[in-house]
Amino acid sequence: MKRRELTRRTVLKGLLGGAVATFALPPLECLMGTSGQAWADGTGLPVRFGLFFWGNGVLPKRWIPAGNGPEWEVSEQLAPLLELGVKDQVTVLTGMNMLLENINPHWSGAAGWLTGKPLIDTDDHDTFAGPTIDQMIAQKIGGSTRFRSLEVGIEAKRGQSFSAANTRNPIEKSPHGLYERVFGVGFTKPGDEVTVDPRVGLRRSVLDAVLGQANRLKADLGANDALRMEQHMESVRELELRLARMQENPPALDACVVPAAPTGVFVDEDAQIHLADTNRAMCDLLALTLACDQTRVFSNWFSDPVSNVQFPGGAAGYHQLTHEDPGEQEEVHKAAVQIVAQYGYLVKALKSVPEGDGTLLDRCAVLGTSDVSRGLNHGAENIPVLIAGSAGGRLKAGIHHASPTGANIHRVMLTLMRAMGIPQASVSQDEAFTTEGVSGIEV
Amino acid sequence: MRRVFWGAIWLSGLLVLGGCDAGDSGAGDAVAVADVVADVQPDLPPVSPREVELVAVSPTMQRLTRAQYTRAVHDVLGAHIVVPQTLEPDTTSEGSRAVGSGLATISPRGAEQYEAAAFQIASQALSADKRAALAGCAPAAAGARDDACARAALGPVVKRLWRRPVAATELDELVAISGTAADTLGDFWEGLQFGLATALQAPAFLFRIENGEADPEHPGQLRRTDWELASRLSFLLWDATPDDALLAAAEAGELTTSDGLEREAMRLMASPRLRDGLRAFAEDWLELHDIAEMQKDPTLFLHLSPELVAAAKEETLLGFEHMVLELDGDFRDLFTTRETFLDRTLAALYDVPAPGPEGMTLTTLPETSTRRGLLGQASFLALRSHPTSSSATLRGKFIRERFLCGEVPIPPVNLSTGLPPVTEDALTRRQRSEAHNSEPGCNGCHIMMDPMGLGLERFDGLGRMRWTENGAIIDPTGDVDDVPFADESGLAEVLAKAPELPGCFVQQVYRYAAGRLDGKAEAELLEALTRQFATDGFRVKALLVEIFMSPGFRRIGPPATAVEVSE
Amino acid sequence: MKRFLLGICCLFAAACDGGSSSGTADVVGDAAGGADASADVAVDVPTPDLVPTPPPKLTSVISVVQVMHFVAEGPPGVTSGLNLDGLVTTATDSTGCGQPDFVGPDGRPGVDNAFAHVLPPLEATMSSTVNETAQEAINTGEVLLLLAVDGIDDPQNDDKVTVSLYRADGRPNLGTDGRVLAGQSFYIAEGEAWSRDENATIKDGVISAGPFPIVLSLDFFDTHIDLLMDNARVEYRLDASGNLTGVLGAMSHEDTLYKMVNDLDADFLPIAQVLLPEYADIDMDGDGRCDALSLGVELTGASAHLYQDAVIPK
Repeated sequence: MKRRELTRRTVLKGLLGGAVATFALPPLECLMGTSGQAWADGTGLPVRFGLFFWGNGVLPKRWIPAGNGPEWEVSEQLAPLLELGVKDQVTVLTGMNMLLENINPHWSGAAGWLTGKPLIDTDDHDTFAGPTIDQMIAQKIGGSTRFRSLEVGIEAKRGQSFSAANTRNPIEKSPHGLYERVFGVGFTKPGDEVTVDPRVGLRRSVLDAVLGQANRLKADLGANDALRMEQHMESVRELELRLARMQENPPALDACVVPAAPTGVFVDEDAQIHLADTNRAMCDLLALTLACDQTRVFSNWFSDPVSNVQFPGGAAGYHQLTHEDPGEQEEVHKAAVQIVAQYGYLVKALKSVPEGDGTLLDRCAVLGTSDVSRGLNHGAENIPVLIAGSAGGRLKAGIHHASPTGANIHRVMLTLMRAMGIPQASVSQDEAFTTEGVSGIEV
Repeated sequence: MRRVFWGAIWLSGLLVLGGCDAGDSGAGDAVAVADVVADVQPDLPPVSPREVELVAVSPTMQRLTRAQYTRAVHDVLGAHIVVPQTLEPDTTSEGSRAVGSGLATISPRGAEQYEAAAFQIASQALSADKRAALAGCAPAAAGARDDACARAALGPVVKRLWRRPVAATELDELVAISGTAADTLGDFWEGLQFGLATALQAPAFLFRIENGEADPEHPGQLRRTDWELASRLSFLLWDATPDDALLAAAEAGELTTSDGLEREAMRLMASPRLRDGLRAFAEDWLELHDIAEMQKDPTLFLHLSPELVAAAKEETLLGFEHMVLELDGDFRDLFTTRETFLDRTLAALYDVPAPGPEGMTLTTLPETSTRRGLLGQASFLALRSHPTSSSATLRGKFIRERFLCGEVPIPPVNLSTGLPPVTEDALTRRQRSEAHNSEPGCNGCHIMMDPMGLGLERFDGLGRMRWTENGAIIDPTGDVDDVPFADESGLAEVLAKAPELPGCFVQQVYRYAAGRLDGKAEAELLEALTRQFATDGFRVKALLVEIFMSPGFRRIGPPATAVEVSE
Repeated sequence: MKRFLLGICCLFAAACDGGSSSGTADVVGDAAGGADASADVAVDVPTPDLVPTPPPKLTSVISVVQVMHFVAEGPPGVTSGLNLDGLVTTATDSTGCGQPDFVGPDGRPGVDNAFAHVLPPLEATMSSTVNETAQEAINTGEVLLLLAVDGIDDPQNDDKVTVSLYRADGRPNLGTDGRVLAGQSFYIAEGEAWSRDENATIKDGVISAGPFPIVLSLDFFDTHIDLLMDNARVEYRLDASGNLTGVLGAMSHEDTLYKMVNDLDADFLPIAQVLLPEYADIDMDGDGRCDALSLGVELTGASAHLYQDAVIPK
């Protein structure tokens, strides 16, 4: 197979043009054109990060499993993991506390946990103070694929992925839209030779001009606006890098199967979302997106904090239930079980794609978590944390790690970043600052 | 005078929260009052808002909203253009997209979407049947670059897109991009698409950027330039990019004069396009943006349908337009009027005879109807409810915050927020929430919301009238800051007379016009605007005139030097 | 937003120092707004009459029929319907032509509903049930019935009200439950038959009207038929939300039915002439031979309106 010679130079030029070292250098094997062989035995396969988020927590009493370490039994709420046959791939962490200030119900939890920083303004949940965990990781390992990261949503209205303060990454809510974006125009099947469209180069020159304009305008802006303009420039640089990718021949990948476009109706005529169908289609597409190495980082925002997602047969929306379902909150429980089943499906979808000597899931870490522990009182103690996959053997999969004294949840953030091969020294701040991960789940 | 009431709230909230404890600073942090609670005080000396001394606030660049982007493309490049709907979503802050546009950046996904949109738009604008009219010239040879024609074509178009003169070097760059693309692709028109697509992705198009210029009347300070005033006026009144006449007035330096500004503003106000601006404001003010995605349980709300939801939004917008344009009336009548626009789906929800089988028609609800004004409209009632039930708290919160500019503290975490279940003794939500609010820590905040919201309990979670809940008769009595009312109709009347209402409205309009929250330095201006509003009979058009003639609109501060993340 | 924080903290402190809640207003007024505000403490608000507006007393109510439920015999001898001939007959009564009256689900005697017997054999010949067919006809607007009560003085007991039965025009809006949506407006179909009883009554909340003739025009197996029914009566009740539950009873003379069958398919006429007398349960002309079939239909309905410019037939 013929390869273009200038791939690496093209990429480096894009990177240098970017001026800000946000993107890690792509793995060499990718650029050297040797990846075909290197990936055959699995050793060169990349690790990937996924986030599955739902709003309003769980019922901790019925969530925490019995047993510890590899010997544990699924709790009532975790039962779908067993039913879907993924229990042995999912590690459950309990006793994880969000130690940053918890003032704004739901939003302090979501912002604090996902970014490691408290809300900018405790009254205003419309923006977070910095990048969320998916973007922290994407900014380090996302640079070598066509998409630095992908954000999808099922019931979520906005999703909570931020690449910087005030920069929320919009979510793709339609499986059709995700398919078009990843596998539509601009997609070259790994191993195929790219048809070089001269327009791609011209588009890059357009982006260069836009960057120049932005840079000139920035000089006269106030400090806040200059930051915003810089963020815009970052985004344009990333797009330019993506165009550069489109001029390269993608290395062959055995695991890559180009899916058929999704069929089906995901939103009915009353604008009600078919939750399970949408999640299933999204997760199937995400799995193949990873297998075809179009991205290495994704987030699936099943629902937002305070979301009133209502499952078929549910008595009310989830948020309302957490506050109004009396007594033992049987309805909340039922909804939580349904949410775990959606996460379980994602894990199962990743597990169903063979890659190297195992499955795609083996090279993933998929964090499943929420903004609060229990919605009723917006607690930040015992926030649900699930991690599926072993990130290429760096994490212990399929154990229950109980922290009886209550551990800093940001240790999980650090462990996950390191599992992605990022040499991160510390995360978060104040009470939640940590230089240590969760050693109990690290290999 | 209602400030007194506020004090009572704070104190009662404080007592139940145990906020007196010196160690509990959290309760204090959680509490804040509206920046301006401008009472109407007719006895104060009449300082015209135009004369208020103001330390002008630093500029905030605003990203075009999706609606503004679309309208700009249609105005400048042709109404035939199908603008992709997959643009970066608008940012909301404090419930407002106008305020959010002053914070918004562009995400990586957004950059991708703007790029795709730019090329789709450029290709439609320069399609074979439209290119001659848009460009006004023909290339010497269709298969190669023609810089003179590209320059002639792009110059005027880009000036309108960027809402300011285009510097020669800027135009040179666009012409060069077009030329390279034309040579590469062997097609002048395809090449020109690249130049146009560059202009459409330019920050000068996507962002409304203001730098100001030296103000001869206030030495050492800045005022908005003619071009900046043109944009601000046009986006405020039409939610659109300036038209040619407005740009011509800017070019002639007329907008920095009072006469010129007022003349152009009155021209814009007299145009039918003022409707676009009023609708954009009302949508922002009443937070109707996401109504189409509202989740409701269809097994409980039989009237739910996309047509109904669309009609509900339209009812509110048409009602606002009607009040401002056709009636030019007292804006407070928005809360008490029985005139409204209904179609057959909305009339069915309201259980009244529909005016006709097609479309929205102005009709008057029966004199006996307790459904009145904004608070009786489905858009408000349904959006400020839960998916399965009404919510006196959500409704009361919106009234408190949006109409009275009070700020309801966020509920403390680790507080049990459960409503007790339906029992023989507590069948209605009022009874259940009374039980809840008797718990320590709850009443202090709920008293700011529930006594108003409970007045609307006879409207269910979609806005349909009901008389009983779980078999018990619903009690719709309540009070607005200690002024009692008997039911939803009484609430409308009491709210319309609430002293905070006009000042709060002025603040909302001002924020919308400024694209940011009002600054501390602007308090005096807002008070003057509120007084003038009262003098002018609370007419919205008069308020708009005063806002754009005020120094808050015409002057501007220097760029902020430090990053402000929070006030 | 945050600028008042300081002030509020002061309030807290001041209030606690004062240790009294009666002085609250003054303390707060001073801190928050200055002298003007505190001067306004004692605002005399006249207490209005705090009686919520009750549900409107309607003199006219219109309902739309959402469901017409044709019932077969439930438990032996029980089905829905009305006593149309005023008789309570048994299998051996000569006046009952060998067709014993049913007992209603509510225990009322003398229920006439020969159709309850016809329903099972009829459905055996159809690809869908009669009720499904009827629902389709209602939901598409083909058979959209409006029941209007006018002249109500007392919604519980009124010895003279007017009840009209109209056909509505057009395709109705359906609710999320698939039924004709409550509260919607209709036009009365022009040129369609309508019925009215100006001496209807309300007793203990039950509205009774009839007898009057009604014509049900429907498309039956691609053929348009007008089914004339005589001595129709309705009894129904409206709840506080305007929901209607009730029964429609009517009878059709055998000649009407023969004509209908003949119009549908003349080949079936001889069979009908043999079968229908078997089911006939009412002696309309009093000659001792039962010559008519009775029908009972359970009705479910909801509130409805007429468009503001609708024309009401006089």
